[in-house]
Amino acid sequence: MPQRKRLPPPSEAPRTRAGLRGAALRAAAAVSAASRAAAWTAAAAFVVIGLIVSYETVMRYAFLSPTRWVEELARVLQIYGVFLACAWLAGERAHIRISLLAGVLPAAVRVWTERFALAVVAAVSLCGAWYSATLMRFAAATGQYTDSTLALPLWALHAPVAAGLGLTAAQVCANLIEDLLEAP
Amino acid sequence: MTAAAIFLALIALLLAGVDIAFVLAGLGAALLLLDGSSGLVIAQALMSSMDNFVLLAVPLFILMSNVLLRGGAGARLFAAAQSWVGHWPGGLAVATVLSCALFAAISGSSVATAATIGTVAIPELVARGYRRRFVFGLLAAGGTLGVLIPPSIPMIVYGFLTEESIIDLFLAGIGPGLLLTALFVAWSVVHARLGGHRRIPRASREERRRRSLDALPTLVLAVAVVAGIYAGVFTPTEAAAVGFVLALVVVLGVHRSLRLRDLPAVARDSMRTAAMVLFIVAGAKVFGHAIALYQIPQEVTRAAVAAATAPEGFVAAVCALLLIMGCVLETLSMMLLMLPVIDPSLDALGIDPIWFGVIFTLMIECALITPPVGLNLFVIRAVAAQALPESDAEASLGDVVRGAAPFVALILSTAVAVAAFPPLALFIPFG
Repeated sequence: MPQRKRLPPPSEAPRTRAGLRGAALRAAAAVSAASRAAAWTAAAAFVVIGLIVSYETVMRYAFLSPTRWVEELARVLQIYGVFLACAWLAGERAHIRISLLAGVLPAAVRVWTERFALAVVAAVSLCGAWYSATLMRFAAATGQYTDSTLALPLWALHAPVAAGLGLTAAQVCANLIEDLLEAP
Repeated sequence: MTAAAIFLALIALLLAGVDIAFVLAGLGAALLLLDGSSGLVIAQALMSSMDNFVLLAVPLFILMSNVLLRGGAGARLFAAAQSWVGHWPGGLAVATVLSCALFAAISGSSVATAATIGTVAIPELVARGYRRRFVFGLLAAGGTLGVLIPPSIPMIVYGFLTEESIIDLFLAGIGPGLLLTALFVAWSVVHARLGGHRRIPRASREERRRRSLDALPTLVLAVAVVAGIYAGVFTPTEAAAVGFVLALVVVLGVHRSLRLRDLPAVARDSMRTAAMVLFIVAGAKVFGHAIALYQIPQEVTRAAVAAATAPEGFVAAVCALLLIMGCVLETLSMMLLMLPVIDPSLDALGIDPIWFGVIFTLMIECALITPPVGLNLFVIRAVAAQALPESDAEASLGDVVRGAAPFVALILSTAVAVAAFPPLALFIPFG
């Protein structure tokens, strides 16, 4: 005969909630750490672009020996830079937006408008990440390469879009969780 | 009907405070999916929007500008300009305008220009008895020179969206940029004649030499970037990259005003601005795909051709719309929203896209200093609060707005002058 599931005593219930709350906040902190790491990678990518494009310029004009790899690599790094920075920017609410209405709304409405805005960002990011991951898997499965001198695998160009937008969705969800759990 | 529904959804999401890039990408994605297109088009558009060598000029100019900004280039330019024209009536204000124009020529960013020159100029101008309102307006407007005088980030984005030559756009910005600088200088002198500020003594020859030499590396850098582009030595992207490396040489090697350990912060700040701008471009690409599928630009073109009796009427209508939109929309977003819709009309009406680009950029300058969302107004208020801590309460947004009003009139006058006399923008022969 199956035993009846024992309910936790009342004193244990808050601890369980606290445990769940703690786990959610730890997960949110881990996502934020990943976003920060991605953002530093993006910052490094932009600096590398500056250095290699100026190297190419010097090689072309001073030594009449243009490189074959700089232009394409710089473009690829730009894709990585922009999409890897996206999650950190979203987490910091640093993307450009219009805050005209927020200033005049009552506080309670403003909180829910802000949550709605975050939910839209999460949904759009998730949609972009999903389709980019699909395209990346397709490119990898069919062995597609860029139509260029370097002939880079095409999945490597879709990967930062999928990863960056996926991380953005996670970061925005983390912000929402933190917001909801820390709300009075 | 479809266009109206899209417009309403766009405005509702923007006013709800959703990030602009995500509004554009999300609305574009929704329209594409509703039309039965594959979602893979969205992924392809996002990736391919950044797979572009021309756009690389944006992060690289931002990097160059941030290196110089942190290295104190703004203060050096201001000190040099002050040593030459500071003793004129309104000389300090004139020096401020000239420093803004010079810094604009190396930064390409209005916010960087206003913040950098504002930090050093506001305390000086206020201490010399210039009226606060005028000072705040002068700095907010001076910063806008950065979007017209090449290299200009909005012009790079305009060229990218309309597939026009960025070099031609840069060259077309020189004439109106100089005219606007001259008008700002003239207004500073007129204001000084009316106001009661204290003039500063003429700088000695030795001081002029010293300050000019101090600013010389930055000036050489600015000339090298612009002249290199015009002479066909560099593409704008290459010029920006070389400018970035030269800026590092100037601040790390020549002035030693920046240390290697400061560079990560410079890189992070640059990444923040560049990714913010470029991600809106990516969102606009998806939105552009969607509205093209729904034939909205074609509808607008047909309506424009039917309604406008002459191209001038169309340009005037667009300018009026930009002036209104500039009061509620951020500048670059305004460009990214409007250009995909109106670009096809330019061809149909026989309007020179380079000339139109200059007028468009001038209207964007206005948007930077018109309330309630003019970015430079907020930048100057923040800079003034830092630079004048004891009088924080007096640096109200209203003061900045009222101070900027005469400069809005001057920018609009320049736009009218360029519209009435196109050679003002197109006089430099294009390659």
